[in-house]
Amino acid sequence: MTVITVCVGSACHLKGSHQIIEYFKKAIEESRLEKEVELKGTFCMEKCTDGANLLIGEELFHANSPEDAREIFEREILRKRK
Amino acid sequence: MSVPMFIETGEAHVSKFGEILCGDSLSVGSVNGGRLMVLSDGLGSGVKANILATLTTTIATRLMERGLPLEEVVDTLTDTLPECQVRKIAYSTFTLLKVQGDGRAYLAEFDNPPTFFLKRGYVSRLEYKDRIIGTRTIREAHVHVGPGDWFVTVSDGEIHAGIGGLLNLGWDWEKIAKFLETQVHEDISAQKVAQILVNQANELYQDRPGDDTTAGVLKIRAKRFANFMIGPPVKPEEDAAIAQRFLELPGRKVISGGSTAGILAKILHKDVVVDLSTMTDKIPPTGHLEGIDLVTEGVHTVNSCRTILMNIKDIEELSGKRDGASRLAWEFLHADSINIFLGQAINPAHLNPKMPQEMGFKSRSVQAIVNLLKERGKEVNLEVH
Repeated sequence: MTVITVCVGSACHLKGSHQIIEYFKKAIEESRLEKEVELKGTFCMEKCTDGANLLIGEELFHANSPEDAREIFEREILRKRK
Repeated sequence: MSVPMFIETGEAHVSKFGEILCGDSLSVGSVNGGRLMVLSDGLGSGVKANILATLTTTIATRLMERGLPLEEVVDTLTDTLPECQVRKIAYSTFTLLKVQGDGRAYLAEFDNPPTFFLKRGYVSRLEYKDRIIGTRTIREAHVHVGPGDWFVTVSDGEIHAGIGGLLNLGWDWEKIAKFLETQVHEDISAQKVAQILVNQANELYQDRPGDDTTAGVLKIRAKRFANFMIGPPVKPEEDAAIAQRFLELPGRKVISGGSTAGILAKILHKDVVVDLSTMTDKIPPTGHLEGIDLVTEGVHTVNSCRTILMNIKDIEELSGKRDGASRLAWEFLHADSINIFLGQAINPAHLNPKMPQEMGFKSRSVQAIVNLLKERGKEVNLEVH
């Protein structure tokens, strides 16, 4: 099971974490990965200056838009599965 | 130590059919950490009755607040009220009800229906003694009350509801007593009970009330405390001590902000789990932390909560809402006494010039919330760290 954890703290919220979460929800559903990928939220990771923070497993990524999130999802989830 | 007591009040009126002004008046005041309620039914109806009743409740409330004895209150009323040109008397009825912080309650009634006193869900008769002041006979009663007790006082419009129509002799004191026993329970508010009584009377009058109808309710219950912590202290070395003191306070615990949640999680040795299902496009989701009643994000939630508190009329408007701001507002409105711990440590991310200005306004929003809560009669204690 892969866990995607998106920060929902104040700063990340402003940088679009809500839309990013919505994107991941949809992406997981559309690629039928509900049994393999779990989506979680977390409060402040104390790296607020770097853009909306998210973890895939233990690895930290930043996304500033659902576009960035799509790029990360394709690269880190979809391609790595194959 | 006994549980601190709180006296919640509620009132509702309906005017006689065709009248704009209600000829009954109800006034609520404060006394010795307790409450004072005065009900008066003015002679006649409409403007004249309204003026007589308002004068009576205002004078009686002010004098009682200053601790004057009943004789003085009655004499002052007799000397001050204007004489009715038709009836040549200076007259209005009154019920004076005083409940002190220590549980002592005093009741004086003149020409109003006897007040309902409910204990453990049942109406019990008060032991009245008659007292004659001038030409008037006033019923007095003393009783000791505690959490779970209720006083419900009504004007005769309640007692007569439905007379000659749906009910031959009107609603009647005994029937209202039975009705109250079916309505009153721990979780219903004083305001709701007052509204139910008046609505029921209005139905019995088939929406054409034959008299001004008023209900005033005092609910005696345990005082509700809430404790709210937002933002880490400026000095990080104080984190643990302040958080520990916060946790030891009686009542509900609410925390806002990621760093604050982190401090508490560390002390409690538990994890914060975010509940994504509570997220909306404006308000970030809430979290769960064992030992804390509500965990929310900081600045956005608090700003939205402030907007809710500026506009909301009744706490019931929040029922069923799951977002952080609504639940935070509910915690504030549900409590009688609120301790707020505001930490002013600065989050470096919020100083970034690319961040909207509102990010820096947390303290200002908290101060605004304090003022809004005080306006609603809440006890609020703000500590800044």
